[in-house]
Amino acid sequence: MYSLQITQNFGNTMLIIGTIGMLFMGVMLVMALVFHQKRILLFNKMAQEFEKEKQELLLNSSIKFQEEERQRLAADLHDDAGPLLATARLYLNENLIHQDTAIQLQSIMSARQIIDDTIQLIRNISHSLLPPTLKNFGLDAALVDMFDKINNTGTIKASARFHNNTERLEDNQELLVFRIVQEIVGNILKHSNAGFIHLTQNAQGNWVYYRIHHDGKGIVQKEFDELSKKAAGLGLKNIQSRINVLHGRIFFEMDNTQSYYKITLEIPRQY
Amino acid sequence: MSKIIAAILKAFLVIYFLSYLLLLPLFFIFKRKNKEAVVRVIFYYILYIILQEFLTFMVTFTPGLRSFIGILYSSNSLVEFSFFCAFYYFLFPREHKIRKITVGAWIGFILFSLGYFQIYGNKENYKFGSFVAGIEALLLMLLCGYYLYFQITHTFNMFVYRTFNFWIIVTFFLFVSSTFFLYLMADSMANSKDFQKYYMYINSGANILKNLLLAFAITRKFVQAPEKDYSRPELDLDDDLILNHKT
Repeated sequence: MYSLQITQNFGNTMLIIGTIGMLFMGVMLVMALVFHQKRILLFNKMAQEFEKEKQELLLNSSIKFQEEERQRLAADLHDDAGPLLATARLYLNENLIHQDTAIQLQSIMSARQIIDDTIQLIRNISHSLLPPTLKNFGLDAALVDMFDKINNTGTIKASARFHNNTERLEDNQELLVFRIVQEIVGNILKHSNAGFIHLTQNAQGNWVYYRIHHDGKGIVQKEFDELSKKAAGLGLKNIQSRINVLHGRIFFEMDNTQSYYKITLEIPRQY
Repeated sequence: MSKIIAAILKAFLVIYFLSYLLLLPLFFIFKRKNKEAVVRVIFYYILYIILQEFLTFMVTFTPGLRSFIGILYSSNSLVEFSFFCAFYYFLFPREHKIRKITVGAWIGFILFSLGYFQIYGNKENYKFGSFVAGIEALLLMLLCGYYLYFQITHTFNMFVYRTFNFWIIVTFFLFVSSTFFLYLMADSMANSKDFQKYYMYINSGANILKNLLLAFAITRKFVQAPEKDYSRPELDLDDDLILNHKT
């Protein structure tokens, strides 16, 4: 009877301790989750502020880039087209002074040559602003054309392959993708000392994927993120700002075989 | 002193019944227009706990019905776990593996409970179904724990503690935590007068806590988890480069 009483008392004590302990543990667990969520919220707020600063930096660099483009365009027109047209004007003026037909013919021929050169110069400037292949035949043709031209130099092997391009991107999206690929390829040619560059395109659902492989010295995502923050990395900032405009993503990785660097662009058709 | 204790007990009893009466009006005010499966399950669960409380009251205080109290208690684990599984099933995105696990756990638990009741139901010391209730509590705690873990690892909703889903999980989690030892010991300690007293206090306290948390959950907004996370598809983006360029 006495031992039964002891057992029952022990059981009741266990019950109270166990219940309080379990409840306490449960409350602590829930509170830990809530505090953890609040910490994440704080962290995300900081990340958003950081992202805002980054966006401002990208916007500034984009404006700076546009200004530089305008200056380059102005310099091209002023330094090349301006003197050419002035010279053509001088030749034509000579026609008013000299009445000799042979001299007049000579000066007209010279003026014509100069005007032809000027047309070619303006065409080149225009092509650098918007490649005609891109405008007329679309992104795949423009990129294949770009890679063919690089390949024809004989210094580097370049190829492009489009797997699924039946549904094209919008014109403005194609131009932005072209500029991004142009910038990446330019960087590879300048800095990587690569032996080959290969571009692959594929698509699934709402997403279009472009991947550039090269076997030179490349960068990985961490380096890209660091370089994009530096004032000197204007080209990379432009890539990032164009990706942001497209609502896409970019990944700088190394191949599993550690032989290639690969840059993957993921572009949504609609966002 | 005894008058004070009697007043406290009276107040406790009033809160206990009021906590049940609070649920349905609150549901009709805050969730009447919500047709989500998760919310509907909780509505039927509220109806069930009110009915169950009424039946327990009737069975306890009607001498001829007292023999049914064991069945009532035993069936409670089954029905409660079924409601929780239904709620849990609809809580997760369609493609999530935990849905299948939940169905598996539910079927397993039903079979186990029925088997256990079949084997031990007629034994003399079987009064409450402690073992079944213990297994139910453990399963519930595991599932609730996974949900809380899922919230930490998949932070698609930053304000999880403001959602209906979270507070329902907290309700079940704290209820089974606080009654775990009570139900586990109920069969073996049923003859102790002190235990019966503690049972009443702890069970009533846990039910009040559950009802108040349920009431709070009802006032919160229901948030559905996103159907599918975006992931990079397995497309050919490498073009057998080793063959093309490295040989």
